[in-house]
Amino acid sequence: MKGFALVLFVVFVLCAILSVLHPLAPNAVTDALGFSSDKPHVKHPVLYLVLAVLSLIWLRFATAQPAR
Amino acid sequence: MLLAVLQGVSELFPVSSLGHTVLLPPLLHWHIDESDVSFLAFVVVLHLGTALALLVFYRDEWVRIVRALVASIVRGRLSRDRDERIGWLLVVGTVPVGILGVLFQSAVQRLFASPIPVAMFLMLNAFVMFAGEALRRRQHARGDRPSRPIEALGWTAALGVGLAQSLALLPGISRSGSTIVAGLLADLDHPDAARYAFLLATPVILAASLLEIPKLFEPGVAIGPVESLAGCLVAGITAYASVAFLTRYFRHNDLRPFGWYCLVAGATALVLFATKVVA
Repeated sequence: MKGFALVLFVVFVLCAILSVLHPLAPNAVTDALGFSSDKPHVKHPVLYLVLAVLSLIWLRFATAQPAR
Repeated sequence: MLLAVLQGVSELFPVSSLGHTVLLPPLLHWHIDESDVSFLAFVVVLHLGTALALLVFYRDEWVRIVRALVASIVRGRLSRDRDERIGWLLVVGTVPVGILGVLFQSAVQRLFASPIPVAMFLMLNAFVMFAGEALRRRQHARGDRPSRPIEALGWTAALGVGLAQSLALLPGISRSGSTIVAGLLADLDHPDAARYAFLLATPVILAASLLEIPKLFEPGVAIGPVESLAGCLVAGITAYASVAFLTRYFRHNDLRPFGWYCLVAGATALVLFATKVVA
């Protein structure tokens, strides 16, 4: 679980960076993911950052000491 | 102002606000350009009013939920606290609609936001509500699935209710209708299913309207602060009255009257648009 949460965190941070820089050529997939230069929108980076934060919270729960 | 009242009512009643936004203007001969920047900005304001009404209506619950969530994050551990459990269930239920909404909402609305598909989805919305009620009654009649409180929902059930909420991306499918049905099928009773649906809708509507606020400042927007405030207030008051009514309504009633309304409205619209009586 810890490893999966960490992988998700890294993936969402990368997605956030791509959606801010939107460097890819426009097509149906890159438009939907917010990675293309066609109509960049603030919604995508916000979504990826929220998901990255949730992954971090999951990581925190997964690494915490169990209750005694 | 009529649009603000329509938004406040139809956003929370299980009848699809988006479906009504597509069907009503041509039926009532309202000449609204739905791609106009001023119209889009006004819609943002109306959604903000609706979200604020929901926040005010459930203010005590939200304060407890947010406190419990922050406490669990600081502690780094989940506890058996009821508000904390509901808070995390809401987070889990909000993730699917957040992802699907941001990634696919524009494409879905490009494909389906025209009267004939919307009328068909409105009828589908009716059948979903009828089927949900019938399945829940069958479960009750067998007596093997008693109702449980919201905090007893499992993570998978919360995810399922969240996915059901994503169906509302289709214009004509109601957000509250699909989430109430999913809640009923996850063994909530009607009042709890409705309360959970409204709690689940709050962050989604609030986030969607806050993220669209830049539209208010786009060049060409011809809505002043007085109109914006009035629209927000009217939508908010109507939404508050709607949620107050619906929470009382679902104590003793079910979704079927809304199902009949959606079935009749969808069938009528389908006939009118398919036969080109209304263009």
